[in-house]
Amino acid sequence: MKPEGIAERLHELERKVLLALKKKDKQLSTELEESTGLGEASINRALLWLSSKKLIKLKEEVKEVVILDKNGEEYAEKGFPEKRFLKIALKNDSIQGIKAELSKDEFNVSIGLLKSNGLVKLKEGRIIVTKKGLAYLKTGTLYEKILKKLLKEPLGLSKLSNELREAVNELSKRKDIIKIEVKTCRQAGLAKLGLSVLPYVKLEKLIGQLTPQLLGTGAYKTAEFRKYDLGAPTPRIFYGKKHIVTIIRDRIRKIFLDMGFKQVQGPLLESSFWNFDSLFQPQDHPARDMHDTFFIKEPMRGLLPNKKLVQRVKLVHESGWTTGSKGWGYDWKESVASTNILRTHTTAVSARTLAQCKPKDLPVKVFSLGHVFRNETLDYKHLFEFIQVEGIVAAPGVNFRNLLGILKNFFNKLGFDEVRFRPGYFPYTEMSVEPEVLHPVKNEWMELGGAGILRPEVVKPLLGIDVPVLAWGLGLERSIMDVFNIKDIRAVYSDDINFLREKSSYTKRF
Amino acid sequence: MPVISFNSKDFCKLVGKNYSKDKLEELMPMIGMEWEGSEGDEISVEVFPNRPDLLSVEGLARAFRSFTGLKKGLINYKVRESNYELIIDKSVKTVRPIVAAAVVKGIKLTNDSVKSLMQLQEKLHLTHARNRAKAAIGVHDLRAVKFPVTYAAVDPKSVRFIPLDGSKMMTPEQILAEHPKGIKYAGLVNKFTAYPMILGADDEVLSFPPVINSELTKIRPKTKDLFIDVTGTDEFTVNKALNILTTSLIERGSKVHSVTIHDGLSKKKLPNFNVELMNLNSDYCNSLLGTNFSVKRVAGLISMMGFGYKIKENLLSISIPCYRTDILHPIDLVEDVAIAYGYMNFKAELPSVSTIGSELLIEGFLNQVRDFLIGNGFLEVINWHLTNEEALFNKMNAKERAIVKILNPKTTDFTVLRDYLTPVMLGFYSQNRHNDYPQNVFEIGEVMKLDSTESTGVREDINLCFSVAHSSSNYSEVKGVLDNLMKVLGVAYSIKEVDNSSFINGRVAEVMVNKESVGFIGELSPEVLISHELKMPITVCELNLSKL
Repeated sequence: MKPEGIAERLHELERKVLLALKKKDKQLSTELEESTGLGEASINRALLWLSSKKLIKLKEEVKEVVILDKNGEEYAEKGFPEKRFLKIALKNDSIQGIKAELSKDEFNVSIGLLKSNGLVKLKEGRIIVTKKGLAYLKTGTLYEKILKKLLKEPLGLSKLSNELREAVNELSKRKDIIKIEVKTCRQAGLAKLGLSVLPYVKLEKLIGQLTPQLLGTGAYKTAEFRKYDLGAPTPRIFYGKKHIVTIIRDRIRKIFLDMGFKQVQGPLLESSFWNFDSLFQPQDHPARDMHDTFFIKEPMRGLLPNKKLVQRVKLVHESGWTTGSKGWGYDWKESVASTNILRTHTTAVSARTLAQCKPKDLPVKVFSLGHVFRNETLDYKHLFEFIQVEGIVAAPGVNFRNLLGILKNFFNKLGFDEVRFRPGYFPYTEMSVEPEVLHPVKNEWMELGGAGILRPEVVKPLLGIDVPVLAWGLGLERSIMDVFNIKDIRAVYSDDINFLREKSSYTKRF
Repeated sequence: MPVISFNSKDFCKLVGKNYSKDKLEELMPMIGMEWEGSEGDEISVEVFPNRPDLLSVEGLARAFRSFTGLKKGLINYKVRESNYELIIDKSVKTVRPIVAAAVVKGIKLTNDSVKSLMQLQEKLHLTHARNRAKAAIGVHDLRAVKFPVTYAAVDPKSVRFIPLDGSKMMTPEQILAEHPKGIKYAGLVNKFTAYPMILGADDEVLSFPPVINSELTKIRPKTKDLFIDVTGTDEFTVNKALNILTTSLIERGSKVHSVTIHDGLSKKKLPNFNVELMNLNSDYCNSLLGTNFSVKRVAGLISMMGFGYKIKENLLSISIPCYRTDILHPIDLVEDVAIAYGYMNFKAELPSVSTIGSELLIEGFLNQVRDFLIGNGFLEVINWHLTNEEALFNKMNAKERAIVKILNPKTTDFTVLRDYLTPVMLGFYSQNRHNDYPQNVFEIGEVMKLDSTESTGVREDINLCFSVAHSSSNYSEVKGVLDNLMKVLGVAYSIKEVDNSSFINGRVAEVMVNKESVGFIGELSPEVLISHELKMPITVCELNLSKL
């Protein structure tokens, strides 16, 4: 930008400081305060702005300054306690009377000081002000002079006269009257760019903030607006927004709704019956192991559903019931099925939903979405809580090709144009499918979710009849990681507020 | 899922045809063997847990040979009659009742075959045999075995033998206490007073199942013939393990000889390679797959998976190979037909089922609450459902109360389920105590409370917690937000001052709707803030949205 352009965009404070430097180069910030009449904060702001624009050079100097402390502020206003003591004593010379008007500390300090300097005498419980005391009351002390000065501005220790410095020393021995602080002082000098800008700097009043007054009085008509440095950084604003998990959750829900699915839900804390037994997972299946599943200590067991359903599930495990299956051939136990766990998959919700359906309710297309739990140690690849989504289609006559058709459309809607299928394995489906999608950016095939047709041993006990039930599901976190380019799965549930604030949560992918 | 590694040259030799590694990588996933990776000639594939017959290179080669059409259909494995005998003593009936055995002759011990045998035994133990609980395999040098062999339960102090790869004689009791294998599998036998033992005719211990074999029958480089025992608690698992192991050895050219098992009442000869029959209707197959295959086509496809068949009209009588464990229902055959046809060859087609989509009513409500809070500058956070008692009670300066507890937590940080959100939100604040303020955040999530009227014994509610943290945050700021939220929701509420030790006295209230408490609002006490290492005033409001 040309010097003229820079000058036009200078803030009023900056202009004042630059012009002050024109009169005398190399000034301390305190000097600039005097020469411009601006306060300390304004000067400091102007100096930092000018320096970041390379118009001035800043040198920093550290020095000791004297400032008022708590009691000092009070004494500066009300007077030193020893003086107040004297004044009171002139009116009422009883010790009790004086004590009543001063704090205990003030009284003690004052009487010691006044007595030792011969300003008062103690006689039969009364205070008598001496002549010296009367004179003292009329004259201003050095201490009072210092407090008065400090009330206006801090004093640089190095600049004080010897006399004043001694007094400051004495004062600093008394409680909380003054403090000596180390302060940074800035010295500003014009830089080359500043010199070239100076000729264009005008002091005339430019409009900074447009105000109701300016509009009301019409003063804006005759004044000029200061131009802004439009690219200058602005103060940070903390805003509210949705969590990335909620955003993807809602997007996926929308896909299911678009495809005509009805949302259903079930409990997070589930009985083993719904999570495993109703899904034909034998009671000694490794997935039911303590290593994989969170079991509940309190309350350890839940109630099983109606007897008819429990009996069917028992028989289907033991001998296949009327499904045409051989079953698993073991002794199924209610005591194992009634143990409470944290659900390990949303298929538990699908099972509950099928159990609530009657054959006349078909066709049924439902989906569920929610937290599931696995007894994992948290690391960059594993979470012990995550979100699963699962859809089922229960309808007479639907088939394997329909399952592939739904999967293809579902993944298309998720932003993957190419989908392919491989055999998979899940204990409760047969055909089991592992869908793979072609990543649109990386151009690599990646596994995403699982699918299959629920086994007759699952469907018939729940629904009463054997109907093909197409089912598929996926974990949300892998999609979230992919869409938002997150490498460590723990970051999906980051508890770092900076991450939550700064992470972009928008995707055009789907 | 188990991973099997093998040498690609050995694999091709077993298949009977050479394939490039690329071709194998392309073909194997189509049969359900997931390619894990390769290094030189070494290949690793992942096998589905319902297919223990694929846990060896021999089993993989057998499936591959059939699938690629080199040799389709059922393999007729033969057992040679012989006089080897195994006697089951009744003492073992209550301990580990099932035993199966076979003699295998003419094995050729090469690097590949030894590695595969060990790998198969190990993986069968781990998956099919449920870590040796349901079945355990012992492999012995036949030369060291004196017949008839006895399977009996004996007093753990009464016998002594040198455990495999060991140097000193030990009793079974000592083995369980001292030997690494004994310590590992002690849980499977130590509840009994007598331990299962396989003994030679001279009463020498051959093995102590399911723990360890004896050094006596160790396989050596010169070993030609094997005696194999499988003991366990489940007959199906035991017999299938023996079939899988012995047919794998036949694949390498060995011969299997029978062992007669006596239990005092009856005799049987094992291994039993008889096929099992199951009917498959081609109409059932077509209706499930959405195909129009002729019965012959179905027969051709199923034979690619190693099955035999006979055709009667549109019904197929399928012979299931003796090593397959996963065929429970005709639908399992349908899947094999689909795999043989190739998943990529099915034409995907949407079902002609017309339904109307609908979301849960609560979703719209929750999103409205979310939008309100976001509009007011609150950032949404998601905390774990799992937490610990320290966080719920001590750090909140609250008395203990009944909560839902995990039986088998992995870490001490996550042992219980949250019954309200504020404690986990304070955990969040504590993590962010060095970050910029203001920190105005909210969470909507499930909380769990004990409730005997629920079928699980637990009630799950959806709570909302919103909170402000900055140097001048206070009760009135949060109450202002609550006022507006309730206006938006059209809910009339009132405030009732309460005592709550987590909050500053006189600055905490319950939020009442229709005379019922639906939540609380309050300024957290300095003690609670300091226990979270926080130096910032925080006010929270938590509402049970399920009650609104």
